[in-house]
Amino acid sequence: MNEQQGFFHFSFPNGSPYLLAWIIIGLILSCGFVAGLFFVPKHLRRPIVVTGTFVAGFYFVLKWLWPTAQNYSETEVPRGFVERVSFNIEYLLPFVSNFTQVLAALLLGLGISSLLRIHFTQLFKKHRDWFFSLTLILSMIAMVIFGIWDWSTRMGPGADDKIAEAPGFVNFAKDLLFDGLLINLDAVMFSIIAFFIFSAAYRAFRIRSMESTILLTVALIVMLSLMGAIVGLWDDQVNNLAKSTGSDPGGIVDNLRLTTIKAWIQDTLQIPSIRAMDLGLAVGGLAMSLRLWLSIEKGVSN
Amino acid sequence: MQYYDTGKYHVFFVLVLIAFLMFNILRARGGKSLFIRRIAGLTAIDEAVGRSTEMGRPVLMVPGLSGLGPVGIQAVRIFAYITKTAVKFSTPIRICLAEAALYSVAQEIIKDVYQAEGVPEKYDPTSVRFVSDRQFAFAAGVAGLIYRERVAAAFLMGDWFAESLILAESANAVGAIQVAASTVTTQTPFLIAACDYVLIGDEFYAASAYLSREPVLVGSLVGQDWAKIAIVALVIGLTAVSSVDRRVSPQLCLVDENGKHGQALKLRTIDGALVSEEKEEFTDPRYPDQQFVKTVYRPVEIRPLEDNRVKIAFTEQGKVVEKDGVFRNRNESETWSKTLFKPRTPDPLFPPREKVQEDTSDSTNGGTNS
Repeated sequence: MNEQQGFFHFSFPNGSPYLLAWIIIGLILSCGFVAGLFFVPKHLRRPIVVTGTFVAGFYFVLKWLWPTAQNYSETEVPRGFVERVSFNIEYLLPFVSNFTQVLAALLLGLGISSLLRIHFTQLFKKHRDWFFSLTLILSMIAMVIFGIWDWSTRMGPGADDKIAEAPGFVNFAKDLLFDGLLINLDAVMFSIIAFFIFSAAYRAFRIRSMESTILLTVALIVMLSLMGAIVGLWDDQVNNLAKSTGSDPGGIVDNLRLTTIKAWIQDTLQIPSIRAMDLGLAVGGLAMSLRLWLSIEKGVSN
Repeated sequence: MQYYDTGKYHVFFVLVLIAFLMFNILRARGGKSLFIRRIAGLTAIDEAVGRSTEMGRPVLMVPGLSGLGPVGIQAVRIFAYITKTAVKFSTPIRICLAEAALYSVAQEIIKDVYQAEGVPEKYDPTSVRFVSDRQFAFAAGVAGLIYRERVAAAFLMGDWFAESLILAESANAVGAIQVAASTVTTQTPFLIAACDYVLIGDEFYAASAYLSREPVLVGSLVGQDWAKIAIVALVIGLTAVSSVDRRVSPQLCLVDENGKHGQALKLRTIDGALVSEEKEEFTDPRYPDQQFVKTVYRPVEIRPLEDNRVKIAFTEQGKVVEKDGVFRNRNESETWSKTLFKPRTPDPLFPPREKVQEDTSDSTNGGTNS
């Protein structure tokens, strides 16, 4: 550890006894910390959670507010206090990111256990549609086995090239499951959106009220402006109108072109509306984040 | 014309918005009565849950692909209030999630609701489900649940993407009443087309305040409104200033190497290297006698002088003007961009950093783990 670099530099060579020692110490400390949380008195639990949340959030607040050192490099010595703090913030970033990834991985285990509990219950109690549950469990097991097996065959230099030339059974099976089945099933789900758009549009565009009439009119203009043949025919009519009225090219009659009307709708109505919504959402997100960070929001059950 | 260094203005502005929020939260905590307008989508919650109770079918709640963040937590909070209503009538609920971390939180919150309502034994752990973190597998799983259990009400609130319409249309197909909200604005039109009620934009964040009337949330909501008013005022004010500025400020425009208006425009760095050669004609129809550049802060001719001083040429009100000055940073550059050139000598304020001394005492072969 170099004193000049910062407070949190733990860098040891691979296979070093120091590295092993730090791993063991880290493991013991984290297990002890988790176990200790179970024995914390109830009245202390909230302050611990509040402090943890605040410290975690404070890192990102600091990262945003503190002046960022230009061209941060681990091999250079920071110039002064401001840059030293900035170096430490940058250095801690992968550590904090990895921490959230480790937590997410642990929680994924909980999610999978929920999934399996529901589907095993469905299967063993022979509830209605139990065979869907069986399919899910078998698919999951097959994907895990062949996924890990395939990954293990791809370890080492040049392994990928060898597999590309002569794939084995396991590589073929994994490709069949992933590229041949899962990706295509994804595509199927995505493509049925087209039909859902059609049915939703049919319901929404029926003239029932002033709003739906406006929606229909605007949608019709935008749709027609995307059809080349319709635009061509419409523009001919606009040109004829301009000639008959003696209007200059680029004059007021030009505003009647479908593409111009569509551009006006998009630039003047659509984009400002979307920006207004985004603005409100950003402010709402800020308020929500602030309440969570400072833990000033009461629980739902209180 | 740039009058101020706007580098840290956004920080100041966000701090002002935070001050609005905190002030109103404190105001509401102090007992001040604050008004919230009626939100149609939220008044429909009781109707939707009541319908589910009458039909004996479950209420479905889905936060989309939201993760464990402000959006996901807000969605789960709304679902907790819906669950509270459902618990009173013993209506079954289904909450489907696409993110394991949010699943764990949702499970605890919903369990808490049952406990708070005095019926912990009625809590069914399978009512809160992790389905899949893969977008269309999640959509397929939830759509299947909608068809199999024929849900009577569907609350689709959170981060929605392409799967939004699959679920909204599936729920519509089984005749469910739907209340939706999306923080992804591109999905809002789809939800408006397919659902009975939609919370638009930040109504999603207003929901928990509206439903609970908790002072902190209500105060925060009023603070949000103040913040939005401030932003709108700023937009209007700065638009006016910008419009006036365009009329009265000296306009910069590119000149060619001979100092005349022309079509072959060359940009050079401080070292004289050619950056680009633009052959377009930049004409503003409002000033037909002048030619304008795409960006007014980019004069074409930049000549290096002694002591980091540079001379630039541009036109002002139709006349070619030459100016010279010292370039340090954006604060001190009056009209030209810092991106075009760099100081030739090291800045005394920021000398090069020293290299870290290599620690050779325990050097071994191989890489390092940090």
